[in-house]
Amino acid sequence: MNGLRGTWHLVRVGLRLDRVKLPIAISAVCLMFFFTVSSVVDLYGSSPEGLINYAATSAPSVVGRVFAGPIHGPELGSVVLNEGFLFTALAVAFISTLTVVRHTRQNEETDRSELIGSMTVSRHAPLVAALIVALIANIAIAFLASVLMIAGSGGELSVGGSILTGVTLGAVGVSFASLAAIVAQLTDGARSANALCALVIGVAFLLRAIGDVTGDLVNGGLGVQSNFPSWLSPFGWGQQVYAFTENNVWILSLFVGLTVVCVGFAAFLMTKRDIGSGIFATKPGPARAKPSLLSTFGLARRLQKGIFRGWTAAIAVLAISYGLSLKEFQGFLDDNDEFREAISSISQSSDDINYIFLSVLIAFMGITVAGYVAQGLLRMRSEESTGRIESVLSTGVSRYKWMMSHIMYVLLGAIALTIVSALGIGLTYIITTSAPWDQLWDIIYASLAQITAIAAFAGFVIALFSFMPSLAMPLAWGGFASCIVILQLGVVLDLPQWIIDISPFGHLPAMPADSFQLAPAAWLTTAGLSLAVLGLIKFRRRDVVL
Amino acid sequence: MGNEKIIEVSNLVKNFGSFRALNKLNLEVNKGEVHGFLGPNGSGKSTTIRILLGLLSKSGGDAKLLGQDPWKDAVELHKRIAYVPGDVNLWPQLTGGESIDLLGNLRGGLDEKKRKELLDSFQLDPRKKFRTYSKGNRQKVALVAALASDVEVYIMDEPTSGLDPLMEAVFQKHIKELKNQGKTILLSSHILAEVEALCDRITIIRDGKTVQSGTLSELQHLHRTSIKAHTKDKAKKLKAKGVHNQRLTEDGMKLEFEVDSESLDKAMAELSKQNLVSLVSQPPSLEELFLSQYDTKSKASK
Repeated sequence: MNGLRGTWHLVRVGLRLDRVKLPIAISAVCLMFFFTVSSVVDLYGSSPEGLINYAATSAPSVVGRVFAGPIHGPELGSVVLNEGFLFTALAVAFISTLTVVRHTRQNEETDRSELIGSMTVSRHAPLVAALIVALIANIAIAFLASVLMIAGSGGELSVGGSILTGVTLGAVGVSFASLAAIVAQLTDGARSANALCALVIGVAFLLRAIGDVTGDLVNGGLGVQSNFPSWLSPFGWGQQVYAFTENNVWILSLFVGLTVVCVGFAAFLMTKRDIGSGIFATKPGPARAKPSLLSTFGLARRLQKGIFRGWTAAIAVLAISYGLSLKEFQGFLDDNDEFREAISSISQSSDDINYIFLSVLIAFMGITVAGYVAQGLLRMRSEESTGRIESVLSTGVSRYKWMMSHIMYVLLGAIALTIVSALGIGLTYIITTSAPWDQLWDIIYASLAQITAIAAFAGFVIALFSFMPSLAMPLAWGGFASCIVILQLGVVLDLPQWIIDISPFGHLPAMPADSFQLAPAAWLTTAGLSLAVLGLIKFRRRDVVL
Repeated sequence: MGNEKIIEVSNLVKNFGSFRALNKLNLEVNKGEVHGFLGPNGSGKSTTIRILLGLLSKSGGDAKLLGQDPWKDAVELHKRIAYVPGDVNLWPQLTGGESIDLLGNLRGGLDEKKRKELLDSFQLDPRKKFRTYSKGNRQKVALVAALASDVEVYIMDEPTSGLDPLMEAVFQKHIKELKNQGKTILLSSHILAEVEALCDRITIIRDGKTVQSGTLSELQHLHRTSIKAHTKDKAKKLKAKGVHNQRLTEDGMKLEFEVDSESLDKAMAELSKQNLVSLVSQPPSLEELFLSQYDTKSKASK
């Protein structure tokens, strides 16, 4: 046990450091899970036909298989798992990997571990301690998720199945924690370790998505039998447990096996590297800057590039899955008259149900692009609050030029992302439903119209940055979240017009179902422009706020 | 040394909400001098520097840099100055070399020969990402970027707090070089040996106010000299005014005391009547000067 000297001490330190972070993250995830469970039980608990309908739509659906998984059949437990398991497991995986990286590489980066290493603590202790903290977190998740599932189902689901589901979620978390232990040995810092962990999680998600999409329909078209790639992923294992129906408890041994192998390998790797470095040595970067970096705009481009790429990938995936959903939507409408009516009321002039549905999807894509705009523009704020702005503004760069270079990049980026989203939705929609190709133009026009509302939102964020720098981040994201909520509720409920008017996206006509209107577009653009100009003037006149 | 004023700050006031960070602060820096800017943590050094850089606006008083208003003429002025921040925070994903090139170019160009020379003498590897540098190496990045640009004024906010003694010596060598070229440098520092070695004049501030300003010898003149005297017979305590803290050793053959500059004459006259064997006098060190400024003032303000 001498090899692990000091571990318990470090576990206590770790738990203390995380005493706020972990409980909040864990309870947030488990509460989301609880709400999903209880709303599904409310909806389908006493409706066998509803369950059959749900299974019949989900089982053959590509979108359903990718984002929810392989449904077992028309049982209440299977529907609950289909709705709630995958995204909870995803969140648990992130909590676990972030915890392990935080207590290993981040400690090394902040030189905390040198302090610890100089005490009487053995070489492996920090890694083992990080894993134990993650294990404790996952035990808490397993317990809380089980209890909340039992509570949320109101006696409709078996206690044994609920516990098995909770334990499976915890087991998924522990497996990813042990994978993170390996990743933490490979890279040179916390940032790259977290990025690599996200990649591992992404690959695990994708493998089971492939296995589920290529799986066969079983149970008379009401269930899915996954293909082998699903068995290459801890997420896949978690879904194959099929609590409430098959109760494949033996699968839990796969998680244990993976964890033992990963932890052993990580411990081996740890002896092969120095503190502060990784198995993959950091490649030295360029000693000189490329000419393209050497300007205010060059710097803005370098800082904004990563944000833009991330959102491009996310928006492309989202747009393609929206495009795919149109075909399933048509099938869904055929046997649901109420929904058909609700959807029709969105458009004032058209009753082309496809175009009306497209208008809702395009509005959602517009708001998603606004999310990019918020993050891109708020980069100005993080440059300011970290003090990096001082080094730039104390050279011959004017505040106006500095700010404009970021705004221009984000604006061009937003236009590019809008086109990506239009092509993603349009191409998949036309290819999967064999709609006529000239509809692509309608979709592109409708998407471009969103830019006027995006511009208004951008003006809002710019003004926040200049007038309320220290509140800019929460207020900008709050505004973004309000736009989403207003649009979502606007589709379902009959919201009063003044609430819809709060969101710039509420002013736009339901294109492509309705036709373009000049007045709101002109108003939104003017509002965005004026706010941006006010922001530029104000920033020249205010103090730099760290 | 010309009398052209490079920095002229008079009665400068800065309020952050209800907190007054600067309270009628004065600072004058002449052309061609290295000016030490001293004061305890939180006394307002960085705030003054940020106003001089046009990053903060002033709430009252006057601040001029190279005869211009640092707030209105910021961009024009910045081409003539280089700044080294106290907390060097640059982009984690850029290498040191990239950051140096970028900052140098934004300032209007780098001296290539100087850049290479500085990298060598500071022993800085320019190919590492900024986030992997230690505190000292981060400061080196900012120092190389500033020192490799050919400007009139260098403003440095505790530029050497993370450097080892070897690198401190390199830094001093480069500052002396700049001084020989007639450049003006405002140097905020806590390292007194550095200030003593480099600065022509110093300004000490406290609680947003200037408490002392002048050349080192002028300031030392205002303070007490400590004296140790050995006598042949038993020593007697002095009666002259301005003599403080007299201590007789147990055998009574040694007298130690501190004396105000203006009373030195009388004290020495009285002392010389005793049978002196040896006499050691020590002018106040900067450290004593510094401590006395904070200590007595903080006692007085309590």
